[in-house]
Amino acid sequence: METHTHQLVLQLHRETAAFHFDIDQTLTLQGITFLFGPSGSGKTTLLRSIAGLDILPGSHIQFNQEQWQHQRDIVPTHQRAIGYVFQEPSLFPHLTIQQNIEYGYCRHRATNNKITIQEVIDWLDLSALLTRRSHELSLGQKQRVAIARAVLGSPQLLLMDEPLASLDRQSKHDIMPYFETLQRQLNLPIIYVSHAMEEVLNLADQLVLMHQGQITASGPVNQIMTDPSLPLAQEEEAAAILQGEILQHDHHYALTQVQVPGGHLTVAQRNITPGNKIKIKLMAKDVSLALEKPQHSSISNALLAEVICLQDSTEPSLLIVQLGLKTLHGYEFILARITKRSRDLLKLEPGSQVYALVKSASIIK
Amino acid sequence: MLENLDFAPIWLTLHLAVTSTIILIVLSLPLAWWLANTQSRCKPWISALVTLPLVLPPSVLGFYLLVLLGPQGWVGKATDWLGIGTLPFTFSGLVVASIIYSLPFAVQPLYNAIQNMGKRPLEVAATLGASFWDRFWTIVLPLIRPGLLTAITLSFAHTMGEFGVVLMIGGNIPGETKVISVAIYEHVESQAYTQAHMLAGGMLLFSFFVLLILQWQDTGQRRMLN
Repeated sequence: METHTHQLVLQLHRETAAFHFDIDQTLTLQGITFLFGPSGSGKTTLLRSIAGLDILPGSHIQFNQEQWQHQRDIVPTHQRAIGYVFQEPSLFPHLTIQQNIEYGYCRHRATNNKITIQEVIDWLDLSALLTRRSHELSLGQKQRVAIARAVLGSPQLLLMDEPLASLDRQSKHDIMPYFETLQRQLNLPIIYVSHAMEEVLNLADQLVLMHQGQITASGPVNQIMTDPSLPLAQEEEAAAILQGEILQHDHHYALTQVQVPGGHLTVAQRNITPGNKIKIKLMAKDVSLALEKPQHSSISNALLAEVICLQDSTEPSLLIVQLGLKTLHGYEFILARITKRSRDLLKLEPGSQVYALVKSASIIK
Repeated sequence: MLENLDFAPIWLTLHLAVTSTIILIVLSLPLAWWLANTQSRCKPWISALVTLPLVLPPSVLGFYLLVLLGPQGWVGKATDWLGIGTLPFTFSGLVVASIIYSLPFAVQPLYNAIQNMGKRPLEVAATLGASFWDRFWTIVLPLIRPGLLTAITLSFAHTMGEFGVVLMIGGNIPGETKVISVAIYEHVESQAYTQAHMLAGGMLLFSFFVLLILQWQDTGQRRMLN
């Protein structure tokens, strides 16, 4: 699949008693870019400013060649080639579902509509809902309609403000595969505001960390998640996401073998055809280190790795170790959490060759 | 019996109510919009001023309008200078008085409807490429429709029924300012109870049905939105 990158120039500075904003960054957008941070960090304000729904005076916002705001020179929201999905579905109550999803399509700003209404209806499974009104739909269905409506406005940039936050667990789970379909079909850059780790693991390609009105880090999702100097690596749930490929299934033991950088992993079976690309989640607490490949152990997964750096943890006895798995182009990083005692016993230092023993790992898609 | 009835006050009243209602809605929409969205410190002042006709005795309102619009008042001098002449005891004067008198009945339902709608539907429409007027016609009007209909019916009915203000600023000029309520008063004064009954009974029925229609509208709307 051909992938395009897009540039989003953000210069927003605002200082009031209640509010602090200081952003000067050019984001490279590719796939789904997550704006991630605690509530109150300014994620939604930033998203709304990109859409022109909130105007911070004196800002500069530019998407590719289009200047959306420069000081007082402001392109109004309806002239920006965006789609926006709000936290609540916000369907128009006076229109049918069909009329809702056609609202943006009829007003398409792009010179040519790349997609048809029927395609989007199929991707998001909406055909049974078209003649109904919004109050007859479940929250999950409404949000799917809202996504269809936003996509059919022919945006060049899709903005999503915690689109799953108002949904229950089951609806969330049901709706997530639709994002992948959309991303695959449209090849549209998406900026996605969230503070749910589960959504990051499942959907993110790029990750932008926000804290108190500032962007503290940005880059490919695994690079940000496995950087020991950033807060995500310090969390109890710290994890790495590896790209892998299904090798084969062992139906007798219900296991699946996956090729990842540094070796093979055997994980619980998932019915995905061999040869398919998948993502694997490796949690730092499930990775331990050994100097030799263990011969007699219940842990069968061992990846050859190099210690990149060791970082103190907030827990005094523990260290966070960033490990590099060799790939064709360099390294893919994972994290391990070990005791300081283990470090001294194994004499670990940057550059040491080790085996990363993986107690458990799971396929996320 | 009907041949005894003078229809002129009825037509005049309807004419007055239609004219005032149209102007009222055109004025009240932006005013209600501003009140619902502003963060200005003037808002409580403007709000209070708009609501004032609701609590003020009509004679007080009529009195000040008479003073203001009369030959010695600022507005009277201005209209005189513009060549319009002074407004008291003319149909135009009645329209101006009706608009002020019925203003809260138009603004309040519109204000509530706009607040109810909230900003979100407009934000969604803007992100979908709808311009200001596009949003106004396709989102605002349909969503505030119940409030708009209430505003129209209330201002219409209220203008139909006004008496005190009319008497102060319009007097009792047949075909020009003699509306139904004034005509009833006059009939009663001259002991013509039959004519008074016909006009008063008509007003009673009219007002009741207006309120009944409003109730139906309300339930119908609830059914659609819930």
